[in-house]
Amino acid sequence: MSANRRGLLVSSAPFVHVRESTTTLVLLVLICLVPSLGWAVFLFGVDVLLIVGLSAVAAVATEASLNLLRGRRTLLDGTALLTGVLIGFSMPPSAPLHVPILSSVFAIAVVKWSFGGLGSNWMNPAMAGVVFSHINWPGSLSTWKAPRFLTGVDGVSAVTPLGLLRNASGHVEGLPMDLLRDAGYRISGLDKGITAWLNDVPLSRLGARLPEGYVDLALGIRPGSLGEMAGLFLLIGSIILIARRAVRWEIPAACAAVFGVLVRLFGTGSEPLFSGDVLFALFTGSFLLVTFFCATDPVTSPMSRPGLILYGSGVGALVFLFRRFGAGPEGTAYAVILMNCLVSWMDAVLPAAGFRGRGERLPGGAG
Amino acid sequence: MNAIRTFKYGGIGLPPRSLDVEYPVMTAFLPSDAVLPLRQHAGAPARRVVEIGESIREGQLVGKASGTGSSNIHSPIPGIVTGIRKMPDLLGGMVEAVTVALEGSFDRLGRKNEVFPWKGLSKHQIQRAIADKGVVEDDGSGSPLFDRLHDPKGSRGDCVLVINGLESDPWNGSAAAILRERSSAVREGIAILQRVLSPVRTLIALDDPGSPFRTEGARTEPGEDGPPAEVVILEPRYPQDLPALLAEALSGRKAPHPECLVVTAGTVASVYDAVALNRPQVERYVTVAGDAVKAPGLLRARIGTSIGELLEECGGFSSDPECILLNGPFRGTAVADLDFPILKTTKSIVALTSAATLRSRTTACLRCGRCIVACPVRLDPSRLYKCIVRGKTKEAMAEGLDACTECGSCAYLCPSRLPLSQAFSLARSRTVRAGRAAGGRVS
Ligand code: SF4
Ligand code: SF4
Repeated sequence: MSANRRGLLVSSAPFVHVRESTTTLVLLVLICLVPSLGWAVFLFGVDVLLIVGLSAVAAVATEASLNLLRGRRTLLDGTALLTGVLIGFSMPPSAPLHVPILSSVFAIAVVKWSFGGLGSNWMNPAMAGVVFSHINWPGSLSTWKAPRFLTGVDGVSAVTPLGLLRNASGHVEGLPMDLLRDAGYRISGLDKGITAWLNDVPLSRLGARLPEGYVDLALGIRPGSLGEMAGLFLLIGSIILIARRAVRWEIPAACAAVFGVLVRLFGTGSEPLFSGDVLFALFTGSFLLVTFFCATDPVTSPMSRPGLILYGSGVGALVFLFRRFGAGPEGTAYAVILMNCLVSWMDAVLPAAGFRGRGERLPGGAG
Repeated sequence: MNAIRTFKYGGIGLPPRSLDVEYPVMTAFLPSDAVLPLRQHAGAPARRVVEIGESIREGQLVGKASGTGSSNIHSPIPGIVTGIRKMPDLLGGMVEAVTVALEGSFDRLGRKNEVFPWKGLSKHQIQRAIADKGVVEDDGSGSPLFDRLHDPKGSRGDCVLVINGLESDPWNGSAAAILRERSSAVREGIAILQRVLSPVRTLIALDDPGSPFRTEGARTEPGEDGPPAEVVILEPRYPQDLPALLAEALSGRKAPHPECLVVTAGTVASVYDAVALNRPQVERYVTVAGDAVKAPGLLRARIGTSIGELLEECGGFSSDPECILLNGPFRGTAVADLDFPILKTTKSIVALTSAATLRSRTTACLRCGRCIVACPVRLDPSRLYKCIVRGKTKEAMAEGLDACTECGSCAYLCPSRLPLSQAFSLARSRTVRAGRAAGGRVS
């Protein structure tokens, strides 16, 4: 880009651009995460802001120091901030503060920059940070805090619904919701009210009926990581992201479809065959956060539509496998990272562009 | 015929037109000094046939075409040749330019038009008139129309004549203005071209369903030269004014057969001027637009008028422009010199501020795939760019760099603001040059 003495630009065409830039895309994703964060603050108190904030600051500070070190200026693209926020989101509300900070530093310094910074990293930094935290501090990441509205569960020994299922699996047969109830997870008044209204007004017309308990799940009235709680808000955010084409819909669609079908067929651990509770599976754990906000990272996903669908399906299938047979209750981050490894292969076998050599050149001359 | 069509792959929907279709056309002031570069488009420069101090009439030949790709250049005004100098052209080289200072009276162009009964002319005579009057394509390419009509061996089979009445981008309104203000000239011009080509079909491509030409255009009588012209409405979608894509959109097939000859509406009007009015191509419609211009408008201006004068007539700048572009922000060229003249191929002058260009810092490729979806020839711009940046131009060629139309759709959409199409055109011109050098050594 050169400018002459009058200050007029004389580079070459095109001279105009669409409004979207890397920064505005990142900003849009961040905005879509704000309602979920607000809800987490409401459920758990302002402490969670500290976790997300410190995680974000750590990520940005690491990016800034690496910028200084490598003589590049990438801070303003906002991607480091997003990575930090996503890592913060996957922390339990009671996580000790060093965990999100160190995980963010690891994500940016090792995963993102050792491969050359944004665009060159083949592994999703946020997911790698999450895995890093699970490996290093498994203990501090398995104590949970009970959110507002959830009564009757001891704050310190609270278990996430998935954790509960994991413990119960093999010993007890039954539907996840029944297990929850047996374990003493009471259904909140909020849930009762909303479920009753839903059944009376919109669902009765459709002849459907929603059992109690799912509104609690969708609103995150159960122990869990702070950013994963409000499935409903995450869904609203992701609808905006997809409508604005900030993320490609193929990934979450394929992921949710494959995951849902597998859960329906084989359950998540304790139910009989063909009667898995899909709604429960979708709204527990980090499934929504990861499929809509993490797996959709364009840098670490394929480029062609078939590639995206394959990638999304792979994530969905792996999440199912980890939940059903894995050692821990959750495996979404591992699923994304494993699929990341296959992206370059997918790009090679499923090229995105339709151009196939000279034969396909458009006829017709210069005009 | 009423279905709204477009080409098959890629392209971009652009913001709505910046100029109202009904914008009135103003006649620009005559230039006190007309600057006439002897090469206004790709091809060999014209040979100068006037000397300094010579007094010339309007419409007099200034540069004579020398070979294929070259075209005659006439003086748009009567006056005295006051300067012959080298100046930069838009292709990145230097070219000889003749300056004519306005003096004397208009003895021809100002008079009432006398319509020549062209129907009595032979095909050959019509083609000669088109060549004589220096008629070139009035959009960016500027290829002389004679070269495209010329068919020495008579080997051209059936052909389809396509009249391109599309605006190239939202900062242009010249095509609509010509169709509105000069509709009878365009109609007659079509008839003249039909006489030369005897096309099996004549299609008029418009992107404005409300164009007055829509009903009138079809009124061309079926004559001995082929069936009447049909109007086809296309969805305004960039870059469908590219001839290959236009042909694809019209035929609905990948390989349009028979051959399509695409001519812009402005060129057709010039054909009428040349053949029926005996007037050389010395005038054209220029859109002056962009958010840095105080009163954007459409001007009928003489070739050789400086862009500064035209901008002045549109009220000058309302704010500091970031760039001034000839022929629009997508395929146009930036100029820094406001004394640069209007050429036969200058359809618009666009002055944009940074609020309109939306330039921002370049970041690494996000692999978002937007460029791939946008490419009308189905290339993978992100991949081509990676190859070029790493110096592997050969690999890029194998990936189809050759087929790139340099439409700029990819770079327009890239959120990382990578100079994709810019890199492509640079790499191509470099390989062409390298190829030429290598060829020279062999022979
Ligand atoms: S400039 Fe070339 S690569 Fe880019 S969209 Fe146009 S044709 Fe495709
Ligand atoms: S549009 Fe830009 S950022 Fe997106 S894939 Fe193409 S080159 Fe990369």
